[in-house]
Amino acid sequence: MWNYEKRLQFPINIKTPNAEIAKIIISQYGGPDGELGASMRYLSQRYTIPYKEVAGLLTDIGTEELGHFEMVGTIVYQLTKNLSMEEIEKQGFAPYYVDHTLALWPQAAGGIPFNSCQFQSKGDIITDLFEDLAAEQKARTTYDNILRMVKDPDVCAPIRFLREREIVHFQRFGEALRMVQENLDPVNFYQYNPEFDNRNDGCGCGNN
Amino acid sequence: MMYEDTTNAQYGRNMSREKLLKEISMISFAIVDLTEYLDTHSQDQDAVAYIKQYITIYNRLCEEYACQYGPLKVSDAVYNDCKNWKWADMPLPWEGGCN
Repeated sequence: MWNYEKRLQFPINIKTPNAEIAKIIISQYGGPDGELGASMRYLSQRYTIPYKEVAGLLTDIGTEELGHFEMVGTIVYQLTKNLSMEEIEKQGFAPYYVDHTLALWPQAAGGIPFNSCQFQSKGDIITDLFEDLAAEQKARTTYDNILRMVKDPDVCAPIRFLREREIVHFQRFGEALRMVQENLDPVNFYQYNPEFDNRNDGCGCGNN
Repeated sequence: MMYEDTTNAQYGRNMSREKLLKEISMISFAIVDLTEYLDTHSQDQDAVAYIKQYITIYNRLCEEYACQYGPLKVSDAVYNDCKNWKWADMPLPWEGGCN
């Protein structure tokens, strides 16, 4: 279960609205490498993982990602707060406005809605941890791309914080992968899938 | 980051709302980061000592915040003696200002 704290993980106080930048940053809310996908990925993968340290890590990182989801939502919200109809049209926000007014809705910068096909929960711990490592790098690249376009220091500070967390999580997933591999058959990591072939039937490959 | 006076029960008492919340954010972030680190380094005794110290400070600061300004989490509501249910009245994190 979860508990909520009425505060952000990192303070966000944006003084100048900017719908053009909001349109770009919303990709980290519900886009292909965004925080919603990150959280759902880790929180979905964890159930079938037979190593409690790794399932625990996925839970803790998946939980932090929910906090990041809230941070990105806050950035978009503050960037679009109190916009006039004229500003909405001039800053290219009309296509979003017509469907959602100024509410938050998980989508990519290009308007593609959030979809669970944006992440995988494969049921094979090696596959999933490589997916997680890649996810952290993809999100890091997205934040790098955002930082090239954003000049407002009120926006840059939380984006930099989020970018750094991608790097830390990449490190943690790398350690988790090493822990998993140490538990597997050292000659062939794919000899059996510990998320499936964990019953008392030897290697699980059907040969015994 | 040095918190020499953190063993003092008065720690956080004279901080402004903004400063206290910033302090809670920093300590809480250290706890999040250490939690994830300890998931893959559970034998690191230094890290265990650090996180326990930070959790103690975090609890104290959250209690202090709840007493003075209201609870950041429902379980801190006991520390606030306001007659009204203060939790419902706390500022929303996305509204900026003191967050």
